Amino acid sequence: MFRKWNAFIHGEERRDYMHPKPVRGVDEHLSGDLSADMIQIRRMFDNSSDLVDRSIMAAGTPIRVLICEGMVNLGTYAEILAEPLMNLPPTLQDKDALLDYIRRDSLLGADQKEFHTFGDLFTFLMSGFAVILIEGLPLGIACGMQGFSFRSISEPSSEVNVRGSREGFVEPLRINLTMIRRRIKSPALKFELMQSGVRSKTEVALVYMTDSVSGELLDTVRARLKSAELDVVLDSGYLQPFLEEKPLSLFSGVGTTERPDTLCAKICEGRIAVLVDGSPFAMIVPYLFNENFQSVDDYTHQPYYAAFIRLLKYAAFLFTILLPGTYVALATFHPELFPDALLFNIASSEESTPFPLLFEALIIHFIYELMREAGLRLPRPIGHAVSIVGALVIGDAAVTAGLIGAPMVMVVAITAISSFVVPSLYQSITVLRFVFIIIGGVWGLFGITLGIGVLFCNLCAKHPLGVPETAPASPFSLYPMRDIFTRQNWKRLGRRELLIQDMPGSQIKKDA
Amino acid sequence: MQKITVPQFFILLFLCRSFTFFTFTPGSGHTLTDTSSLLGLLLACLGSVVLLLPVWMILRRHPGMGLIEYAFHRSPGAGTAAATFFSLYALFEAVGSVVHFTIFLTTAIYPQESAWGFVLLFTLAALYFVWMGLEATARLSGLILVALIFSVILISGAFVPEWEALRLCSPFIGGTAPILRSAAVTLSETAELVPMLLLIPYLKDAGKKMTRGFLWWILAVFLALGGISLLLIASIGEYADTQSYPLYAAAKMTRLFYFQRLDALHLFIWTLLGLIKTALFLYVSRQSLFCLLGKRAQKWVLPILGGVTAAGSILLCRSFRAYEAYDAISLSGVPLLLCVLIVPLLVSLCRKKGGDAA
Repeated sequence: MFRKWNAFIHGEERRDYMHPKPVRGVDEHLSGDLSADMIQIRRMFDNSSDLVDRSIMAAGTPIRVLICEGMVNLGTYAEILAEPLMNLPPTLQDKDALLDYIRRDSLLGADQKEFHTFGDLFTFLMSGFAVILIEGLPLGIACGMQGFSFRSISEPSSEVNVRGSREGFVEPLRINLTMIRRRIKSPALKFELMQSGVRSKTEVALVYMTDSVSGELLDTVRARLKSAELDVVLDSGYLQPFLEEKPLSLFSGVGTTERPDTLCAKICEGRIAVLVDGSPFAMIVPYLFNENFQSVDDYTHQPYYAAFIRLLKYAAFLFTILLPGTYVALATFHPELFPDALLFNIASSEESTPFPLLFEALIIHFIYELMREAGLRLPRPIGHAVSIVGALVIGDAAVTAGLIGAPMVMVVAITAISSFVVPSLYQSITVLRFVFIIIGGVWGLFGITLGIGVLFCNLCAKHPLGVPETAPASPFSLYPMRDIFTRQNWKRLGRRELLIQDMPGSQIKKDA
Repeated sequence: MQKITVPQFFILLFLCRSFTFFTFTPGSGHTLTDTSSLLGLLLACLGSVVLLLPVWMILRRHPGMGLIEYAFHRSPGAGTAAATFFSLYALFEAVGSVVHFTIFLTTAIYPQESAWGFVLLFTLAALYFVWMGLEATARLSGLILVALIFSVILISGAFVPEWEALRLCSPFIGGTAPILRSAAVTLSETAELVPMLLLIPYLKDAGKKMTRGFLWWILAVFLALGGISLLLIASIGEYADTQSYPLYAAAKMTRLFYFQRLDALHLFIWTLLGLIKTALFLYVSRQSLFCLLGKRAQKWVLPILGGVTAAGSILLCRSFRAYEAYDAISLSGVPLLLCVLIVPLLVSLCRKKGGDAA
C-alpha cells in the first residue's frame, strides 16, 4: 500500500517539477568579434531595456562598455571608467597595448576581473559591474562600480537590545561582509563566496574563522549548499532546509541572526555562518537548543542579571507552550489539583460560558493568532488599531458577552507575553501550544506528559551537523554549562575558548 | 551504530529500576512499607551482584561483545536461540511495563476510564522513543533524572517534618521469612540486568567502565530507593500499608506552599519513567530480532513489536486471570534466572565453530 502511495506521490512530483536549466548559450565563449558578440548578448538578454551599451573608439580600437541600468554608480562610472578611456595616452596604438594598459597601468575600478564566457558576463553585469569588450579580443573586463540603492544600516527589528551595537545586517552581501570584517580584524576570518540558484545566481558567502572551524564541518556545509538545486534563491530561508538534519522536528538546527556582533561571537566558537545576498538574516550552523535563550544583552549585563534573564526565558518557553494545555487538562480532568480558592473562582467563571474549556481555549488562541498576524502584516498605524480592537474583543467584550471565561483570558495574556520572550522559537511555540491544548483537553495530564516526552525525545534525537542539539545539558559536561542556564563573568568566560566541536557527544572530528 | 556512554546507560537503568521498584505488583505482598523491605532491597542488590558474576566472568574475556554476539560467536544455532529468547523476554518485560503503568492509571488516577486508550497512546509514544534510537532515549533520560531528583526532593522534603522514628521497628520482628520474600521479589523484578548484558556493544568504552558503572548503579539503587522507602515508612507509616502505590499516596498528601498536593508531579515523572522502561525493552527486543533476521527486518519489526505489545497489554488489562498468570511467571524469578544464569552458561557450554570446547 505504501509503495503505491509513494509511487503516486513521486509520479505527481515528476509531472509538476522540472529541474531548472541554465539559459542556452551561457557556457559559450566570447568570439572577439564585437558585432557578433553584441548580437549574441542582445539575443540572450532578449533586448531587455535595462542593458545599456556604449560604443567608444579607444587607441584606434572599437570597444563596447556595457552596464545594467540602475546597478552602477554613474558618478563613479564617469570618473574612473569613462573619463580615463576617453583620455588614453597617445602611445597606445593597438588592441593588445590597450589591454596591457587596462591590465597594468590603469585603475578602472578597484575590483577588476577578466572573463571569457557569456555566462560570466551576465553575472558581472547583473552584479553592478561595468563590462568592457574590445574588438578582436575573446575576453571581457569587468570593473566593479556597484551603485544600486539599498536600505541603510539600521537597528535589527527582530533582535532589539538594550546595550551594545545598534547595527543590523542589510540586504547587500558586501555591506554585511564589511560589518563582520570591521569587528574581527584577523586574517583568520575568511569569506568564501559561492553561487546558488540556477537562474538567480545569488551570491552566498560562507563566513568562518580558519583557526577555529573544523574542516569536516566546513566540507559538510559546502557540500550541502552545493547540493541545493534551486531555480532562484531570494532569501537565506531557501537554503535553510539543505542545512537541516533528520529527524523531522519543530525545532531548527539552523540559527538565524540579524546582528553582526552575534554572528562574530558564533564564528569565533567554530561555527559557520552563511550569508545570502539580498537577505539581512544570516544563518548559523550548528545551532543548539540553548542558543535560542541567549542574546547579546546577556554578555553586556551583569552576570547575575544575565542568569536571571536566562532562567526567565526558559520559564517563559515552558509557560507559553504548556500553560493553556495544562490549564485545560487540570480544569477538565483534575480539578482537585487546584487550590480551593482558585478552583472556586475558575468554576464560577466557567459556569457562565457556553463552550467546553477545550473549545474555548482553541477559539481564543485562534483569535489571538489572527489578530497578531493581521497586526504584523498591516501598515504600522493600522496594525496598532487592529491590536487595540483585538485586545478589546478578547479581553473585555468576549468576557462580558459570556463567551469566554476571565481566567482563560488571563491564560492567553500570559501565554502571549511569554511567547515574545523567546522570539527565535515563535514558530514552533505557536504550533506546540495548539497541540498541547488539544492533547490536554482530550487526554488530560497523561496526554500532556506523553506529549512532553515525545517532544523532548525528538529534541534529544537531533544532532545538527554532528553536535547533539541538547548539549551540554544532555550529554552533560560541566565546563560548557558556564554559559547555559547562567553566565559566568568575562574574567572566567574569556579564560579558555570553547569550540562547538568540543561539546559533549560531538561527532565532528577535531582538526589536528 | 548509535552508541551511548556508560554513565548514560546506567542512568537509563536507574530510571527503569525506580519505575519497577515503586510500581505495585499484585500478589507480591511487597509494598515497601516496612523495614523488612529495606533489608530485602539490600539483599536483592547483593543478590544481583552474585547472580551476574558468572556471566560477567564470561563476557570479560570477550570485550565489546554482548550476550547475543557471544552466543553467535560460539555457534550460529546458539546465537539464534539466544536472540529469540532474549527478544521474547524483552517483549515480555515491555508488555509488563505497559500493563503496570496502565493499571496504575486506571486504578489510581482515572478510575472510570477504559484501559485500551491508555495502552495505545503509551505504546505509540514508547515506539516513537525506539524509532528515535537509543541515543535519544539515553539523552532524554539524563533530563528525566534531573526532574526525578527534583520531584523526589520536593515530595520527600514535605515529609521530613512528619518523620517519626518510632515507626521504624526492627526488620526482624516478623522473622527472616518476610525479608527473604521481599528480597526474592525485588530480585525477580530486577529485569534491568538483561539489557546490561545485551547492550554492551552499544556502549562507548564498555570494557573499561562497565564494572565500575554497575557497582555505582547498585549503590545508587540501594541508597536512593532505600532512602525514599525509609522516609515513607518513617513519615506515613501504617497508612502506606493500606495503599497500593505508597509513593503516589505520599505525593497526594504533600502540601507545598500554596499547592495542596503534588500528585500531578508524580504522574508526570511516573509516565516518563514508564515510557523509558518500555522503550528500553522494546529496543532490546528489536535489536535482538535484528541479530536474528538481519537488516531486512528493519522496516516491519518495530510495528509488529508495537502491535504485539499493545495487544498483549490490552489482553492483560482486561483479563485479571491472565494478569495474575503473567505476574506469577514474572515473580517466580524463573525468566530472569534463565536470562542471566542458565542461558549464558548453556551458551558457554556450546561447542565453538572449529571444535573448540568451552
